[in-house]
Amino acid sequence: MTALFFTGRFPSLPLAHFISMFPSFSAPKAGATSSCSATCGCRLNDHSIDADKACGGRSRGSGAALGASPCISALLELNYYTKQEKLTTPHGTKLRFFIRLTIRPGMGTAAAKLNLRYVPAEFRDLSVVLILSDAKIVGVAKTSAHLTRGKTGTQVTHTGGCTSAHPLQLSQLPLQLDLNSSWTEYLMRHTRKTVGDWLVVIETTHLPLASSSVLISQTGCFSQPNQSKRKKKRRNSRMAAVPLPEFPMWAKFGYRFIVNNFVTLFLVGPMTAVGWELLQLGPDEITALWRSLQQKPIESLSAVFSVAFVAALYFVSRPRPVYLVDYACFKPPSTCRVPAATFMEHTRLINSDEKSVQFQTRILERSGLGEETCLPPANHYIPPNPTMEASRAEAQLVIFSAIDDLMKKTGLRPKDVDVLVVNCSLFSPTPSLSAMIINRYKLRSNVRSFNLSGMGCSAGLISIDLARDLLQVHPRANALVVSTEIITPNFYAGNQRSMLLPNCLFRMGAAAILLSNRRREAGRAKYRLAHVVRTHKGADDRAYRCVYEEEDAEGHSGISLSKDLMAIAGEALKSNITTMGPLVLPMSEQLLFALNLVGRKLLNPEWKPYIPDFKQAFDHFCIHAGGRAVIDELQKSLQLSAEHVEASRMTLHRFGNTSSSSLWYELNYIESKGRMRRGDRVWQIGFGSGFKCNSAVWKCLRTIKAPVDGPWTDCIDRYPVDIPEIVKL
Amino acid sequence: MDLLWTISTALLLCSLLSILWKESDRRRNRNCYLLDFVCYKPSDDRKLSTELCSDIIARNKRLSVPDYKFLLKAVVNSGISEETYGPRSIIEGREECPTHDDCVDEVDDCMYRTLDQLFLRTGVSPIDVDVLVVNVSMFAPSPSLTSRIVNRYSMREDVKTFSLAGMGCSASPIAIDLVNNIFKTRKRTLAVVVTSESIAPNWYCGTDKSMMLGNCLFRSGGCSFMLTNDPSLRHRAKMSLKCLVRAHIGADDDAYSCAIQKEDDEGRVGFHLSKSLPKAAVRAFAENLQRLAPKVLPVGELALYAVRGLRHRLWRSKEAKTDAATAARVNFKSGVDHFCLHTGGAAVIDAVGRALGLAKYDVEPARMTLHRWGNTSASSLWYVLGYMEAKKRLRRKDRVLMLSFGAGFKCNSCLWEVLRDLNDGGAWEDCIRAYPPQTLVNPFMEKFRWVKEA
Repeated sequence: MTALFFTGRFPSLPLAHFISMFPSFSAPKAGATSSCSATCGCRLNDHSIDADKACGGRSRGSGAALGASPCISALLELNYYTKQEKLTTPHGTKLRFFIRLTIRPGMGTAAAKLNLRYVPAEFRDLSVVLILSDAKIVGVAKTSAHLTRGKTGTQVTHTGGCTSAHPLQLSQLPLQLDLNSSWTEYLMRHTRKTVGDWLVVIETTHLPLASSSVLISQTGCFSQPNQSKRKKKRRNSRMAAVPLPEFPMWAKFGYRFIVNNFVTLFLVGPMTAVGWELLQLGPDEITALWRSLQQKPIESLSAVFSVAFVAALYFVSRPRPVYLVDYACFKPPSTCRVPAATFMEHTRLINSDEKSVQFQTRILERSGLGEETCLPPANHYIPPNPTMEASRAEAQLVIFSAIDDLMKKTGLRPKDVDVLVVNCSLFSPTPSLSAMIINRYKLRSNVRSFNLSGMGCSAGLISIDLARDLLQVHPRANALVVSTEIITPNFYAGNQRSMLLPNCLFRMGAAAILLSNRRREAGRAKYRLAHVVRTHKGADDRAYRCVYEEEDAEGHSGISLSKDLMAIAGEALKSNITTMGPLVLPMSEQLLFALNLVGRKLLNPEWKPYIPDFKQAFDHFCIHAGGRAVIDELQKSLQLSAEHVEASRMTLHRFGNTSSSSLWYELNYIESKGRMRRGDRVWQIGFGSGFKCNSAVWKCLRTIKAPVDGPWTDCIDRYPVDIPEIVKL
Repeated sequence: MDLLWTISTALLLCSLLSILWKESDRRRNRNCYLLDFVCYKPSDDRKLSTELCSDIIARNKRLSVPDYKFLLKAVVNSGISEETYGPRSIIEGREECPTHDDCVDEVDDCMYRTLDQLFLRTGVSPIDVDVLVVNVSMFAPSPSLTSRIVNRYSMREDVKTFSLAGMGCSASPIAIDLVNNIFKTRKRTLAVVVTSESIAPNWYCGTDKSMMLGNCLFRSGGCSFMLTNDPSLRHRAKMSLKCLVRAHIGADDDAYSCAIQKEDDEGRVGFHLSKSLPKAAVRAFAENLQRLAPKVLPVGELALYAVRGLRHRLWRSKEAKTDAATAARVNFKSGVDHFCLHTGGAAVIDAVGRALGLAKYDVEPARMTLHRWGNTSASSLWYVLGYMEAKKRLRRKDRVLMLSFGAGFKCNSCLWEVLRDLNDGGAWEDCIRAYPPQTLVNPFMEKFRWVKEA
């Protein structure tokens, strides 16, 4: 089944193709050239926009991040452009990229929003974006100076709604059009494009822009279009990608019910027949049967015995279940709080370079971090004091607090710990942190301790995977897993932007998790581990380099975050769910996917690839709170609702990016909100340097009451909060 | 009723067969075979002669004359020869401020060279590797060193990688333990382990004597080895793992802090080796042997030990003796043919040798490894094993005990059984003939005699 999943070009992330222009035009990447075809307007199915999930019906402002109507976005990667043209104009050479989007019926009028992310400072008068419909221009936008002035750097947003009528001809293309009024108004005047093919043309004269990434997203009000069926049909036939037929709600439910309960339904008939037959038996016949059994006691006994034996064998030979008894997250003391104002003030005092300070301000404004995130005490010094002693002190504070809390909750005695796995990416003293824990809690001398280092933010699930393997081997064992990141030694004092990012995002946190395979823990355990899937994209250079520890020109070492991060995270997630899909998806989704695949191969290659609905396999999602963009990206690619990603966003807001432990803060958020019910399935997805995407599926064993002593206790009532796109500092 | 009889018999038979099949399958897949190992041999321009060492010491302007003498004495008496290797940054005089690239280059060179050779020699493609473990104690960049290897060799996406750090000199058996546990959960798995130590970022430039000692002992070295539980590869395997015992006495404060990385009074980070280290080592050693002995020794020897222990209890209970002393009375040579001892230093080797009641012949590999390669931390065990192999000592059915100590404080040991006669030269190829040398005395003893006399 594995092979059946997502064998299309990039079908698993139909909504998530990120535009990142090439660093150099002369040498486009091999993958890019292979996917681009020669003629303009040629078919590029996979970029079509899926509008199925987007029928929220109300318009959303560009600023609202949460609680708004579902948004539809197409993040296109310029690697996947259909055509690239080089134009020589009196002003210099221009490059034009053509990208095709398909907007499907049912989507209603679309508004287009163009996000230019991480645009370099020189970005001024250089790019023209055209949106064409069926080779007719429906919209033209040119970035004008007033939009970029002063705010260059992170994000420039144009918003446009397309509602009016006069399609322009390509020849009429006013390349030098300067839009003093907003792009919205222009598009309003010139377009009424709703459904069908859109051709996005991006022009650039400026090389720095080419090395930056551009994100085109379509957000919008998706009222049902007022169209006649005939028109719709015509449009459909004209469209490059043939969409899947739409079925009414009851048909979908019926289909799911039948397929997912196929075996049960299949057995109902024969079972009723047998039952009916048994009920028909008279007392004489039953006595006769009983007598005949009594006559051959050995046979009947051995039959019963063998059935019992086989059943017992089945139960014993099942893999040992791994239970999550309980876990505890470290709650940072309020004395360690870093409100944005404090952070910026300290940054200004530490860093004399005005540009870096501005950059950090911009990042912080858009990071989605709240006013209550915490940094370790050593980072409150001006300048920070990243000594080994301070790092150890932080490690002791966060780890011991979490473990103490866990021991209090579960009544775990130190002597009962058989396996100890610690992961901390950037701080690895000798003796290890695991030895530190052994020393503090006086663990047994034959405890199996492992200290994982340098494995990035997704290491929390690597630890879980390791603990699971150990618990499969050692019967009746308790495994203590500690996930943390020590911030103290990793303060970056230089001025390189990509390395300043972690300073703004990473905050202190730790989680201690108790896993067990003892059967008696099953009664009180919160979750059972169902699957762990690990993906390592390290073989790809781009992925390997996208989170990278290095030294800048001045010798300050830090972690550099690449601009490709989102795209790479998307690819890693795709690989991960390729393995995860067949394990977790219900039969109905798998069958649809398989049929779609076969159909595309045999009948009509124009069919759109089917995207399995992961919401049917999981009830809760814990997406690593790596940053706002990561969460956005995943929400889009997995077609999740705002509530599904609420835990991630709120964790980012309250605790910041706590690296590997963030998943546990998120889980705790869901519990604190009282949403975790018995039988719910939780999907934890972690991303980390390497580049790795690891995910774990937990099954909830009992309805969990909102905890009274957790990291969220004192603030859960205030959440969810609205997190604006930009918090002006 | 005959039908009932037939069905029940069939069911019973089937289940019995399935039990048997499962059990045999489990047994077949439970083994852990060592396919091959490659020790790292750095290029000759990285050799650290005593002369160069004395120059490096002299470069540190903070040292007073007594400090200088102390260090020279440590170098000259350490039992380390002229041929050990250091990182390039130190030889080129940048030990005080090594860059990130220096550190990465040092580890890279070790990992890539050994792995290239390992894949070449075993004929295994990196694509087939299922588990990858790297243990480098004192250097943990991000992305991890495992990711570096995955990147360089384009390994599969579902490769399980583990980067162990901070586990000290005894991390090698820990890595084996990890792999061995994974082997028990999956069939036909191939694992690669890289064990090394990074010296460049851990040079101590201060003046605290307890921290300077590390500079004198630790040298560049590393080893990559391949493990598998695939029964079909058994005929190619060199050794098979019999048992593995880990002892961690970190619960004791003295033991925990006797080898610890910390800052000195002036804020320079170094590796502090305290005076209580030998005591901790003895305790960890005893702890380990207590659990190891029943697994490796023949029953006769154990019975003898029990009788002796009883006699000791009854008649001489007043004489307080340490655990090590009681353990030492067991004759380990009855169950083990070769001893790979961690080359922590001449004194460590001698002490362990004495405790186990070993002859000069048995500790020779460890002494020679210390002489030729220095203390290469976690990988030292493999150089010792390489020496035995190069000397053609390892014959079929021989049992090899690996014993290592590390910060934490840990003592880990594992017992291997040799599967075929081994006679590979490995890293020792070109110098094995010269070993053991006539004398281990440092040729500069004469030159620096004043150090001793002063």
